[in-house]
Amino acid sequence: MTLLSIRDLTIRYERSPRPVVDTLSFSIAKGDSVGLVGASGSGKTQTALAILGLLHGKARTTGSIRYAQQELVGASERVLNNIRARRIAMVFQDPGTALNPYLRIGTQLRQVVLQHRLATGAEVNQRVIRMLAKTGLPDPQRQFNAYPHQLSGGMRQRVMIASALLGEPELLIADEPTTAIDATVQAQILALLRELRQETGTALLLITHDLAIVAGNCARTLVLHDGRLLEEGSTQTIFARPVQERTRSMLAAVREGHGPAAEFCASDRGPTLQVRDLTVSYTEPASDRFWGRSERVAVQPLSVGIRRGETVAIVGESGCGKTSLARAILGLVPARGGSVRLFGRDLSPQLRGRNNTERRNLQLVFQNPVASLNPALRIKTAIAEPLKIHEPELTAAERAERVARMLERVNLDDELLERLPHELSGGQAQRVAIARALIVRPALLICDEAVASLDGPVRQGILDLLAEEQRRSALSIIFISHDLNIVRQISHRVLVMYMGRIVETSVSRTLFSKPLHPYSRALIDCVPVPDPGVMPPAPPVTGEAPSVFARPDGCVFHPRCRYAVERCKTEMPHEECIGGTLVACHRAAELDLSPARRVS
Amino acid sequence: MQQRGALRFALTRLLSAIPTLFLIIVLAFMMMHAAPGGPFDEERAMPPETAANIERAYHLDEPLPQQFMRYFGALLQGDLGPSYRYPGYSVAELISAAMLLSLQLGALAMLCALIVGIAVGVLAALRRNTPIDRLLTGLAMMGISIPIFVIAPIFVLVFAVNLGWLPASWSGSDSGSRYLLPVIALALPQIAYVARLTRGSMIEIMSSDFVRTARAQGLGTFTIVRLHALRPAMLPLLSYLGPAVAAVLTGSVVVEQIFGIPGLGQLFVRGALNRDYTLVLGIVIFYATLVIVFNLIVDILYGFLDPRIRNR
Repeated sequence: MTLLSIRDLTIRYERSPRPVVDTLSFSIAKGDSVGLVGASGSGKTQTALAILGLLHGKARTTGSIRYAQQELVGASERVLNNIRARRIAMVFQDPGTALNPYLRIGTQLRQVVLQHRLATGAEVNQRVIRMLAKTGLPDPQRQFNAYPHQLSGGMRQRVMIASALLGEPELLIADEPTTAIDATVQAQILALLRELRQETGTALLLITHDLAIVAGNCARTLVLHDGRLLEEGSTQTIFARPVQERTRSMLAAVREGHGPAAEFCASDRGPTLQVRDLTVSYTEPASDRFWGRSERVAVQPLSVGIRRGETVAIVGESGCGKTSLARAILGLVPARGGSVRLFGRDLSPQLRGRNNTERRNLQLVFQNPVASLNPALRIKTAIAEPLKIHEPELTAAERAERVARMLERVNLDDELLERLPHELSGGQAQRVAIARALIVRPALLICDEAVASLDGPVRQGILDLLAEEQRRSALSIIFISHDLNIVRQISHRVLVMYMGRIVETSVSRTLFSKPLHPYSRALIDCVPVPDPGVMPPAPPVTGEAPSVFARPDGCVFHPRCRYAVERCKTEMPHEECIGGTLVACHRAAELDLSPARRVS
Repeated sequence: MQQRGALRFALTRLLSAIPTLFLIIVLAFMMMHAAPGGPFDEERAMPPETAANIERAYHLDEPLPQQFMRYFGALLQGDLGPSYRYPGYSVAELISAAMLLSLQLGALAMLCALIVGIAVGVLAALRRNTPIDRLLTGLAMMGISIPIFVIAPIFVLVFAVNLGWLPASWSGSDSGSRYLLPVIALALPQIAYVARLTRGSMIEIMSSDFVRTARAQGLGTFTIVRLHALRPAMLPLLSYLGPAVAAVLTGSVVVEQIFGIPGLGQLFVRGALNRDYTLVLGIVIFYATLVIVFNLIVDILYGFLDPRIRNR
């Protein structure tokens, strides 16, 4: 039986020549699971918002959206309010902003129950707490009174899902429900959605840019491009026999990526950067005394070296200290202890203690490309600026020449030179950020989640560009990411970080075929398999990494480790070398953690 | 742990207010003494001997730094000194006599500004870019740009002189209606500011992700405003309360003069014209303390209204 049927849906914004959604038609049956896939800007979120009548006031919607004989396009708020939450509910992308920060969780969820008269009196709170418990929120009684900021990202998304399911909807729309959270938590949230759906029979419209997520979660797949339906069919068929070229390239981007462009020969290259016993800590007002500050360690003493032309990836959940480590190397936060040596010479821990040559040799690319460019500077000025500092002898004409050549190297059209950052797409802006970093010919480039906000082919393009630059100039790269799929493609070596420590250092290829630390294995298992034939496994780890400031005794990972024994609770494991891999785990030698060969 | 943080915050803020207050006292003292003339200059020249006697009695013959030290020493003991022009009265007595009326007027004006301003702001935000919104924002713009010393006499002219509905001056009546014109004149610019601020922040909040979530949950507009939007939309307003108090104090100086209200503002103007040094300094210290305390209260209130700050 058809629940929702969309015919010729077209969404157009005033002053925009092209509709964002163009004559889109599809339908969803009772209990169905449909994946709506496309790059950012393909109109998938607009479609979802249109179904619930939540589009911006300036949007013009035509066509038809019918839900159980009720036309939703142009329906009054009263009609829509009876559909919303009760028949069709929605889970939004970022649980950090989608929940009201000023209201307790309980207050926000109670209102849904009250609005739709689902319960009265004491039953109201009971119903909310039961639903919170159902979504796996630990201690729901207490969280009922918590504010959103007191919960972690994963817990907030559970609350969001609970709020959507309170009205027992027949259709749940999930808009990129795991994009803003860590891979380990993503696996848990997706498993939760599968579980709840099995229990309630709710239909699912899952919106994502990641085809791999669709593979394990949706029976049918719709591929959207530029607001048009590109391809539609059972997920099996789409993965096995994609018709459209674009679908094929999207599939290629999520399947086994090609390894790092050039094989890395360790022996013939000297070190660029050596980090020894680096410690990073922050101070904050003391909580146990009236005056003074207390110190909190974000990165435990750790050592790592990077050679010329090498890419070292640092992976770990958010809060594991990977960004703190990068900032300490750059001198943006002073290291509390240890040393950073560039070409064998000690660097001052403070940025102001470093000279211009040292500064230009270490460059940085951030996660959010548009926000990391000065919104008031035109692209040509932004790219030329580092040159004014580091090569002041250049004339204006020479600078312009260098900028033009750099722009060509990052494959950007020179008509972008006169634009402002907000006039660029995410991929273009990231290319500008890379151009600005590379124009001073650094020895080391630190990329902090540099492709996390980009999807599909755009992301692939940036990774290819980095590999190309590395081949050209023997650039060393530190690549910080929480996404193992990306790490696998670009890095020669991988450091796995957990709670401020490195738990495993391994050659990239070895890590994926033969991880030695249970945490590394868990991270590998969290990567969704882009194959509809493979049932997604149960989440390999539960919960989320606790704050680095609440370090457990013994092995830091033992509370979440399924292999933990008595010894792990009391004794901290030291790094040992097993077959070329450095690992800090008591049981590394006895466990075989190699992932089973994947069925395809 | 939380209380300790809040207490530490309040204490640090109080301590940092001390140098501010000191600077204000020094500046006010110097400006007062830099103005030509003195408290005992009369139209009719005094015999030089008498003048010298009076000056000696009030230590006005001493060098300025010494006068300041004398004044400041007494101030530290809580003594604002005697008034020069109201013989027999101390400055503290004069201030406490006039204070109540001024505070009443000011509080009423602030209350009026908040209630009307917030209502107008919310309405304009919800009817954004409609004729209602344009009318309201237009009126608010007028309220901000017309100074009190223009609007107050016009009020008197229209409502008291021409229409005869309300008394033109304070002494003209002893019913509650005499409060009406001064309070409205005082509140008007503040209503406009509050409305503009509320409109802006309300529009921002209403387009936030969590309001979209609330809409997706099927909540009606009224519920969304009441439950989700109003409190966060009030936050920018809170930081305006400090400056608003200062603005109302300034306004009351003008309004009390125009309507002939025997409050602090009038006392201040007379004191300044008569070079009544101690009286002016006393009122300046009183005003400054009031503004500083209000800003402190606002900062503490912030923590209570925004749970994210509270638990930090």
